[in-house]
Amino acid sequence: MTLTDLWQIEFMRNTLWSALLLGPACALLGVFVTLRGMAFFSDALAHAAVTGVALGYLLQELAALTAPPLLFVFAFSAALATLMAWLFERTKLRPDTVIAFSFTGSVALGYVIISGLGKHRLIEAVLFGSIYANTTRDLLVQLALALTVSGVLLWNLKPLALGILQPDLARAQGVRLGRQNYWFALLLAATVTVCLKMLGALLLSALIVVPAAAARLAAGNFKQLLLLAPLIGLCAAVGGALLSFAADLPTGPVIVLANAGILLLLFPARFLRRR
Amino acid sequence: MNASPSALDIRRLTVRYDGAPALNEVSLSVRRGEILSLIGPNGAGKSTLFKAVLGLVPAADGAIVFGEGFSRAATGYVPQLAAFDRNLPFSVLELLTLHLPAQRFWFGGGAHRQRALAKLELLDGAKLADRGLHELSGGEWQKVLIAAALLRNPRLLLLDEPSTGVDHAGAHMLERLITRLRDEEALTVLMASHDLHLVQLVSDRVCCLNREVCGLGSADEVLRRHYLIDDRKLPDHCQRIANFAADAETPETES
Repeated sequence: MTLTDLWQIEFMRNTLWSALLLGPACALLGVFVTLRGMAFFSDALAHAAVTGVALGYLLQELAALTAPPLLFVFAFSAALATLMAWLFERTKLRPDTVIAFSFTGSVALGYVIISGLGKHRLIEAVLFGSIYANTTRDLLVQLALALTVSGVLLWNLKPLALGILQPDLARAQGVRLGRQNYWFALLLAATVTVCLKMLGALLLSALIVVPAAAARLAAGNFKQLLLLAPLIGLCAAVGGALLSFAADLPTGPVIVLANAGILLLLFPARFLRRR
Repeated sequence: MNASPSALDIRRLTVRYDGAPALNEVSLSVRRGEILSLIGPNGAGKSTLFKAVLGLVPAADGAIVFGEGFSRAATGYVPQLAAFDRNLPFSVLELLTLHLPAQRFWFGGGAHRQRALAKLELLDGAKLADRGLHELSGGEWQKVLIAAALLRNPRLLLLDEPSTGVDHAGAHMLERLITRLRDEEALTVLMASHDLHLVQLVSDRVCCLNREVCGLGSADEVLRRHYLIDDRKLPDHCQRIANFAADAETPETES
């Protein structure tokens, strides 16, 4: 079967569009997530999406409130991200401690709600995603996210880079690092929400973190990192989707493995670059 | 606030962290074109004083007044080397172009690259331009950070512990560089340092700070009084510094 043949199949076409849109955008976001030391933070937000979905169903049951499930996921992820950013800023607790209790607390809450509602089958869908179920509306949301993430990051490239390199100097130059932390956390929450369907809560932070980590092994400077990470994200997402179809394997895990494979292949680059 | 005839006037400045005073009624005047060094133990408030000058911490009381031609915007800041993650994937030119003012989109190309290169050349550091930050020695880092601060055309330069992590050759380069900034670039320099050799060699005046000013004068006066350098040993101390400077006359080695 050729690529043209695959493109004729609607679910495959939608899957490839998803990979093309989300792979590079998530990797670009991942560059800043890894440099800011927020890999665990993005993982926690992804897992907390379970609670967002559960709360959506609970409100449907209790108040007959019908709204797109993603709206509940985003609302919960955004609230949790804001709460964690506030706790980092205002308490003396270490960030990993804040993330650990927010993460486990929210997942526990989600599981309790899902059990109470008797919707155990929901857990698997949320944890592993179902990229083949993409609709045209999903793709439009993904397009909006990819444009927003890329646009916001590139527009704020200088204050973001300065904040990573020299926080004191960034503040002296008028960069509001506190505000930056909040909007960055919200951008991450939006990304987690939209990517949930593609990879599921368990794996989706790999889409953000692994391409950036792989690119870091090969990149000699920041510019190369910004170009290489989205390229790796794109290749792994599209390649993983095609490979999973060809081998009849689950798409999300194969995309994550493709990312991890590229990272392993790039390990020697680190040593070559040092010579 | 009235303009001051000095480069910077700090008037009865008090800064508190969680209610505890980090600086207590500090008054200090920095003269135009001088190198004024701040010495004192850890936690004496040297870095806090810099942060207050930069507007990063609020003053609980007192005032900071810039002289005519001086301002917060025209103040360059070279932070402590320890504040940096040396493994960040930035090249020297990328770090430098980030410091250029008034540009939203940053990618370090074209005219920005030329301006950054010119500043590096001024400090004899052109060959560092395309190196990664992780490849720099302590002395080279300081050179890059000073070049970065100079890109914003400051009149006043704040140097926070510039000799930390710098080897002997780098320390000598630093000493020449700091005096050059005063003599050739007409900069006023306020430096915090634990390195009494460097302080003795470059300073016009020295201020001993321990949350409040406990001494101000020439390096010899302040070091003798506040660092308990025995009068009888002071000539030896100066001789050691002179020997050190002579030894370091060899060209800087790049690592």
